[in-house]
Order: sequence, then structure tokens, then C-alpha cells
Amino acid sequence: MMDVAVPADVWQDVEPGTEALVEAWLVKEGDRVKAGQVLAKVVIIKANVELTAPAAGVVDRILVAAEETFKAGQPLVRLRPTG
Amino acid sequence: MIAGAGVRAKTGAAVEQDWNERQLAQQVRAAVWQVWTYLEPSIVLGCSQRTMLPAAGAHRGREVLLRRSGGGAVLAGPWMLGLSVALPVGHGLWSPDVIASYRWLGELLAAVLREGGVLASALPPPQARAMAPTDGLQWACFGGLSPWEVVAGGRKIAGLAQVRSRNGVLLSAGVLLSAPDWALLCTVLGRPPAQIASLASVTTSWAEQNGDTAMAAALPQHLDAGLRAALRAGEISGG
Repeated sequence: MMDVAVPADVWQDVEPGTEALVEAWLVKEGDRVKAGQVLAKVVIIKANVELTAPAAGVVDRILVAAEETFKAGQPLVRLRPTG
Repeated sequence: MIAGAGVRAKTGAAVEQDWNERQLAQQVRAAVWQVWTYLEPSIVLGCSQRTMLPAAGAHRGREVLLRRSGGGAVLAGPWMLGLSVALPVGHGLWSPDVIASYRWLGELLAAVLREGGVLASALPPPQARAMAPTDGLQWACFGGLSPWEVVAGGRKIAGLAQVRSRNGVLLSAGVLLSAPDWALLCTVLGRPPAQIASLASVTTSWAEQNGDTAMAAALPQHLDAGLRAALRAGEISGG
């Protein structure tokens, strides 16, 4: 299993504890995804940011639902790598 | 290489949003930008504000749009200048860090405003965090302050937002030339009338700060020239 979070360098200057928002999921549990595919759109400090799949796999579980908030480092989705 | 620059005068916010969408619909290969002035008022909601879209008939004849970037509602209109800048991934002004990405644009806006006699500055992250948000105004872009947004006399004069994708980054900004019709914004979005005065108290404008009247009409061209120079320099520094 592979937990996917927003990359740390996106958060570099963001104040610790700042919450971001999952705007929308573009995939659902059970979907097969390719490496680099956009999984979700999140909003961090007025920036709309794409969350992409680091590897090909199947979406095992969405950990933070749309319109819910999350913090730096928090996994948003669990992928089951394929291939 | 930079391309696609200019000033689009007296247009509508829908044209601007359409231009923004098109820039990231495909890979951005060169920095492109546009300075906007607006003929009529339009309300542009942040991407997370879908639930604030007024019910049909409640628009009071005003255009209400949803943009792709985050942040609060913006009231575009003749009182505001808009800017859009699309950068390729890896451009000298591109950064993986969302906050660092705003820095050069906030500093450029502040520098151009200072040329016109407005004592503006872009807020570094610690200063922006130290300025406590006004309760209940977070729904409005100009009701809050984020890092590298621009203030004059401690009040917000320019706001920033961005969209990041695999194809590039799109930065956008709004600069207040004169006092916006905050009553219109609050009325259309069903906000308490007391927030009209609150928004006026936390914001300021080129006119209110006694910006050079002779330069005011040419401000879009000044910003256009500033963007061209900054993007060219960024291109060089970015290799």
C-alpha cells in the first residue's frame, strides 16, 4: 500500500498547523490510475493544487473526503500499486 | 522565451477567467501574462465557494462566476485592475512552494504602486500571520491577508491567488484603484450590512492613498512593463 500526501515542498513556507481543503476528488475507490494522473484538487493558501498519483495503482481508500480539511504531511489517499 | 503579453481594457471578468482556463489547458511553454481592466462589476468566487453561488434571480443583474483558484470572493469592476500570469514549470519565477510562488508578484505590485506615490509593501509570511484576520470577513478576498499580498497603511490594496497544475502555474492578482462597491458584494452574497463598513475599513485603494493621478490612467501599462521586465529577468535567472 502507498499513502499519498501533498508533497512537502509545496508546504515549505506554510505556517505549521495551517489547514488545507480537499476541493474535489477526480477518482473514486476502486479506480485504476496511472502514474502522474490527477487524483484530487486541494486548496492551500489560496492556491488550487493538483494531487497526482506517484505510481500506477488502484485507489484503495480515500482518507480525506471532499470539502474536508487536512494538514501538512497528512495522507489523503491510499493506493495499491500495480505493475 | 516570453510571449502573449498585453493590456486588455474594459473587458469582463468572464473573459479573464476564460483566458486563465485556457492557459493551463495545455502545457505552458513560455511565460504569458495579461493585465485586465473591467467595464462592469462582476463577482468572482473562489473554487471552494460553490455553495455561495446566489440562487437564480438573486444576482441583481450582476455576473457571478466561479474561478479555479482558491481564496475568497472578489468584486471585479471599474475600481480594480486584474493581472494573470502563466508560468511554465521550471521557469525562474516558478517555485514548488505555494507561498514562495507569490513573492515576486507581490513585490512587483508593491514596487509599481510605490512608483506612483503609494507607500505599499508586500507582506512577508511572519508579518501576514501577525495581522489578525477580521472576524467574519474571510469569505471575501479583500477581507483577509495572506503572505506576499500587498498593503498600504496597514490595509489591503492587492490580493493574490494561484492555480498549480502539471502544465504550469497561473498566478492572478487584483489591485484596488478606488473604493469598490462593497454594498453590492454584500447584498448579492447575502452578507450582513455591517460588513460593508468592515470591508471598507480593512482595505484601501490607489485613489485613497493619493496615488499619482497622472500615472493612474497609465497604471495598466506600467504593470505590463513591470511584468515584462520581471518575467524576462526570471527567464534569464531560471536558465
